[in-house]
Amino acid sequence: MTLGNMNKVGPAAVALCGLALAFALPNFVEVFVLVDLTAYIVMAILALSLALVWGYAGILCFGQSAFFGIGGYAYVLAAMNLGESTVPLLIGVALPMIFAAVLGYFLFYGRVGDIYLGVITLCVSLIFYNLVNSMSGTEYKIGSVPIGGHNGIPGVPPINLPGHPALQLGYQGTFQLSLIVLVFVYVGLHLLLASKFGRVVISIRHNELRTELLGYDARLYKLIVFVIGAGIAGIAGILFANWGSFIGPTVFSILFSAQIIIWIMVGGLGTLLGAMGGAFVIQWLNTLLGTTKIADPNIVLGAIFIVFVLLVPRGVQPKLLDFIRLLARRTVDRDGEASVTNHGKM
Amino acid sequence: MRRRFGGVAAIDGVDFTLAEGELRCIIGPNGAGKSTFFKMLSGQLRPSAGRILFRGEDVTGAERFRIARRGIAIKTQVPNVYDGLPVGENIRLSAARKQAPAAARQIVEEVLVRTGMTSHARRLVGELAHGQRQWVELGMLIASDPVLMLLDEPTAGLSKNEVARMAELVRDMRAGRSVIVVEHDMAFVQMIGGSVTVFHQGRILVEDSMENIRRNVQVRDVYLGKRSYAGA
Repeated sequence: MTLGNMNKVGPAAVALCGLALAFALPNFVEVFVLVDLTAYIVMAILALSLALVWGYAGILCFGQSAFFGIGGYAYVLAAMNLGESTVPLLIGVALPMIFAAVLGYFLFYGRVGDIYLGVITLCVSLIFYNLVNSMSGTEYKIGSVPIGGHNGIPGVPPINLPGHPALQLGYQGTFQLSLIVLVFVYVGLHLLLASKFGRVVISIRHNELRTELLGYDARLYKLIVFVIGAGIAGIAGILFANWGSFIGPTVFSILFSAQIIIWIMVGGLGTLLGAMGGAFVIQWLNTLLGTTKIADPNIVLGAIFIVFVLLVPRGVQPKLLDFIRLLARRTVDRDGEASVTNHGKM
Repeated sequence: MRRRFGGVAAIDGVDFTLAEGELRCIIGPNGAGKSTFFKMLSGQLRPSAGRILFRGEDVTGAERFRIARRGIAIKTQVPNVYDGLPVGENIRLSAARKQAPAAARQIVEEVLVRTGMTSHARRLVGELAHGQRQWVELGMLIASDPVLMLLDEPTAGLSKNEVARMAELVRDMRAGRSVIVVEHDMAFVQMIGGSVTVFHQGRILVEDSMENIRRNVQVRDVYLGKRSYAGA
């Protein structure tokens, strides 16, 4: 479960590395590398949102992409209407959270079963996908900005310094902001999960009945986690729109929703680092397969999913930790054996 | 109270009263409705008919966490513990609901000693033997400082020595609390004392002292399967 002090030292080290990279890396690599990394970082933030909701709270949400998309679209529509990014940033985080609060209320207080919750959240994604896709006509607009249907909304202005619309983020700035946000989200989640609140949330995944029999209102805990997860997904959506200067309805697709789940499965349920790692590796693999055309990325993704479910159900990080523990125990045994031998001799 | 599952009346007209501070043992053959009865008391099931009053207040159909907050704690027939978490954390979660972190940690230490689980504090509950898991669950109940304790087969999987230890613990815990124990182990029932209620086919057959129950022909027949309630 915990490797002693690793619990505090590990995350702090990760955070420091992240911040160091944010400031140092742009000096060592080309801009296009930063741009590629930014995309992976944004997906890692999205992965963390599902890591919280599913990996730790046990809520199998198939619609995390819906909150990602709502955040992205809300930010884009607000920013292009207002000409400034500060208030739209808040809207892009708040709107998915409000939506999650309403949806979550019905899901958790209605005591909807796990499978039905998965189906309902999947449908939510589907609904948004089809809805936005169908809004191609010029009559579909928020303020002066057309929703654009399947074409999406291009020309998204970069995030600017609050109060200074002219001071916009370039590629380097976007990379740095995204990485700093990732570090903050990672540390924030780590602190949340170590808190009294977080430990109750974790207990819900292990045995919700027992948690309620102890007097905790599991519905409220799940709702709060669901809303926080939606907010984080919304942040990722905003950064995604900023990265590509574009947002389109594919962010609501089932394929995308499924990918997020695969990242967590591969990286490890109940992990934060593993979740981010899973996102990075799968994305990188996706890009590699896409460019080298060895195999259809979706087939490979599906195969990975099947292999992991059957052979490595807890994901990579837990397996890796088990292996490290095994090695540590073997060393202790060997030492123990040696001392027994010495004792015998004496 | 009544509780139906489709066409089956698991509980078919049970009138049960427990005085504050009383210890009662519920016995009866399998399928008599004992666990179903407990599930209704702890809020896991809603009665199909009838009411449950706790200290004068109607708690029928209340959310299970609200019933737990009133001080009703249950050790379920199949242990409901956190297999994936360490023993210490299991107990801490129970204590932490009402206590500040420092006080909770203190309670965890005390409970670990009382249940004999100190050396296992860091072990994952899922790795323990069934009997040890029973102790963990009991520890969680103790840590929550309940008003009413419902113990569903607390001695299942325990050795003779452990049964004696469990009886001692139950007698200790009785002070200032009400306890209902569902059991099959008659020796244990004798050890802890208290009057006995016999369940059969979803109804109460007889309520009496253990002495009299042991001599009761009806009860013996019910256990040996010679009698069905309808056959009077």
